[in-house]
Amino acid sequence: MDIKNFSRKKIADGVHISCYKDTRFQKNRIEICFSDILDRKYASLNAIIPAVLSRSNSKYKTMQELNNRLSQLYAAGINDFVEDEGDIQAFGLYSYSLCNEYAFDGENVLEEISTMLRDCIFDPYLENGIFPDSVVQLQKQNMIDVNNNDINNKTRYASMRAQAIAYESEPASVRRLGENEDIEEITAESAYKRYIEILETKNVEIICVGPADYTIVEKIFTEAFSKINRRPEPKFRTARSSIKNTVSVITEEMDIEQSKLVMVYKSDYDKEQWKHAMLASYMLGGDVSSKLFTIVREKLSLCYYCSSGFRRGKFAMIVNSGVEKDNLEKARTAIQQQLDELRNGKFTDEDMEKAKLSIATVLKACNDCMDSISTWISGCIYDDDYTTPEEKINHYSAVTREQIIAAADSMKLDTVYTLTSKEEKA
Amino acid sequence: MSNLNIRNVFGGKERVIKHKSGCTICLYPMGEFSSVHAFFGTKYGSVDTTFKTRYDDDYITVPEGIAHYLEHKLFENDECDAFELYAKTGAHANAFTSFDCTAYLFASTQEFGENLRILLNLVQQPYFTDENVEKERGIITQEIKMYLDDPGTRVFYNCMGGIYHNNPARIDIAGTVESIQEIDKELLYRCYNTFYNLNNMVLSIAGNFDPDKALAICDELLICKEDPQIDVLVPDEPYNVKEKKIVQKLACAMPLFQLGFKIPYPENASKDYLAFNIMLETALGDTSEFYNRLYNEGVINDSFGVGVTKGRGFFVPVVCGITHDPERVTAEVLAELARVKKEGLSRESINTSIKMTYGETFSFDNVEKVARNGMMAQFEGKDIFSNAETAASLTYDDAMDMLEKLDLDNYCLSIIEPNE
Repeated sequence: MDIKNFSRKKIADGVHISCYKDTRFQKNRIEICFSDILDRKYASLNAIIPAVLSRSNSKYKTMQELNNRLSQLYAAGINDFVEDEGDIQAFGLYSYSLCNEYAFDGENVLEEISTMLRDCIFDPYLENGIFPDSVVQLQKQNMIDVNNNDINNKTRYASMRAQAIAYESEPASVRRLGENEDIEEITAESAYKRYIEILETKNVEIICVGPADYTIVEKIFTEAFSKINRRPEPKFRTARSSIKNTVSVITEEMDIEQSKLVMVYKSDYDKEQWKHAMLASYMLGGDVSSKLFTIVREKLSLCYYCSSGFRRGKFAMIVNSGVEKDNLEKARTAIQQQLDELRNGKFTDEDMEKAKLSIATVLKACNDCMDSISTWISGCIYDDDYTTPEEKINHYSAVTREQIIAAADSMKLDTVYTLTSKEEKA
Repeated sequence: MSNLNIRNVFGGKERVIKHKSGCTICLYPMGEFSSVHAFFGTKYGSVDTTFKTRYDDDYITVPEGIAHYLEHKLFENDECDAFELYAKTGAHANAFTSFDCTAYLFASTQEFGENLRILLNLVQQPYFTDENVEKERGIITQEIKMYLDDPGTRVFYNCMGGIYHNNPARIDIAGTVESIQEIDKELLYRCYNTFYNLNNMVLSIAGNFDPDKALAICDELLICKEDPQIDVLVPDEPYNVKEKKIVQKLACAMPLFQLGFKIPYPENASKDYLAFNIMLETALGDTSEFYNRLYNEGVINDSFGVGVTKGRGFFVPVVCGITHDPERVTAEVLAELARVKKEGLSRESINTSIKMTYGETFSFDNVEKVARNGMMAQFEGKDIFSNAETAASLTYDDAMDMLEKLDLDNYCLSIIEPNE
């Protein structure tokens, strides 16, 4: 990552534009991201705003008109997103568009897509001064359907349920789109009122990645935000998740062939030293040379997948696995044994080097993809830490065997969640 | 596209070589990127179940799922598994099996030469024993079971199973828990020796690497073998679908559907693939009156999509999504396609879809995609630029011709319903 290509500028109170100019790419990516603490009271209202804004604006009054113009711009897209990262809800719009030089009819794609994005956010199509009720009702139903369809992907669903239990009473336990009951209560009036509040009070990050000169984007959004009465809230941070006194063991049933076992570990390790814990988690189950893959999957043939991931903000390690029902207990024991091996120092220096090398590959390669560059920028902004991937590699490289053991030793089992078949099917 | 030269996106540095070993090698140096991605693939997938070579007297039919089983087993040699070797260089390795190809890949940011050596060796040095073949059965069984719980996967395979009577595309790529019980090391070697012949294979590398070094390693490690002249039997397929409707109940919140149309395999499948996409997008995609009417009524949502599932010997235009009322959506789709067959589509809307498809196919700035697309294009007898060029050159008539090929009575509707 070449920091020389990166620039960041405040364009209004609580509004910044960050640009990474990279001439290797043939498309431009622009993201406008609002952030808020996850709170059941507002989660659904926040989530519906980008869904409504991405469908039309005052110039392209219907979804069909907007989609038509986007298609004419070589499959340019204006997409809405709502994400949860720890205790934070991030939501907004992003676009991808082909560089002007590849447009065979000579359009200025970047300027037009930037204007369309601005209009979607600042000049939405309204009826009687608020969002059209029909659009709000439709997006409410879509959000409820998306919530309900979470069960389709059993792996993701199990992990989501386990984390909701592990982070109980914390903002991170709130669903990304909020609860269905809260969605049902949204009205066109309440959505529009929340939209104005968001424009005025939420922190905004505009992130541009690609080969273009983004002066035009800066100009368009500076002008747009200058018309808003900005009074931004302080930035929110994800809080470490507290460790329960008693392990939560929850089993839920579903009509499925393969059971899912999710184990959540938490730690009181020094938060500044998160890289130790990240490396310990990686050695446990981060890739195909990890203990969970080589022992639990390959040697014991207990599951098709068994992996661990570290959530830096919550300081939690999540182990996910797909297991035959009869092998659930064996898998739980085997996973715990592999963590015990780590905390007892039963790994070689070569194991440690392999994990560091693998992480280095991920970090170096993040420079090659527009999405990962954008994610890197978001991470820097959120942490207020502009360490480049190359510098991060050096930090990982300096982690010692003793630090990995200490971080692994600090991991305490907090939640065991099992999704399994109903008794009659077993 | 008068001023446009797609073929210049790599600055003329790309190379496609027919190596003396028989392997086709595609090299896309992208020195300004940090990583390198390599795909080493064989034109062998789950549909290649009945075959012979010039050394065989008769065709052999092997169990379903064997190509995928073979993919799992090639990572192991007599001393260790390839993942261990890659771990020492920090490379990330993987593999996949599709209906009509199998590929092994790595992504790395260092030690390119060593990683290429590992890749070429692992694919060319099979090591199957009764024990290691047996050990894999448990893992693959779990993989199959995982997908049995996935409504998105089931709605797709059920549709393929409803369309085809005999074509092996009707069976899951990984086979079934039952079919993989029949797989043993002898069958694995038989399939390996048939299809993992370099005359049947493509090596595609993109990113930050030295092409001369890559070729030197290929010269050293690619093992020349005689072309066995593989003859894969594509079973005769009746014109009509096997079943018009298949419904399965699974753990899901609302119904999923896939409507697949059976048409004979086209003469120019690559071109028809793009033309069908353009026609379906124009008629039913998110710029159409149809889509917007049903979306605004709440009958369809963002999950609704159109496309074509294609591979060697099969070609299925599809419409799919998640909806509370799959029967109504199906009826509406069929009525709309019947209408546009009769009344036609506007030139303007087709031109919009052509631009959209061109924009989607224009993807030469992602190292992984370049390596993958380079390999896939060779398997189809094309090159990496063909799709974008074809998309940009398609006409109104090309898209309208696809409507003629669509038989609206010859479809299978697959539905997954919530089980409670």
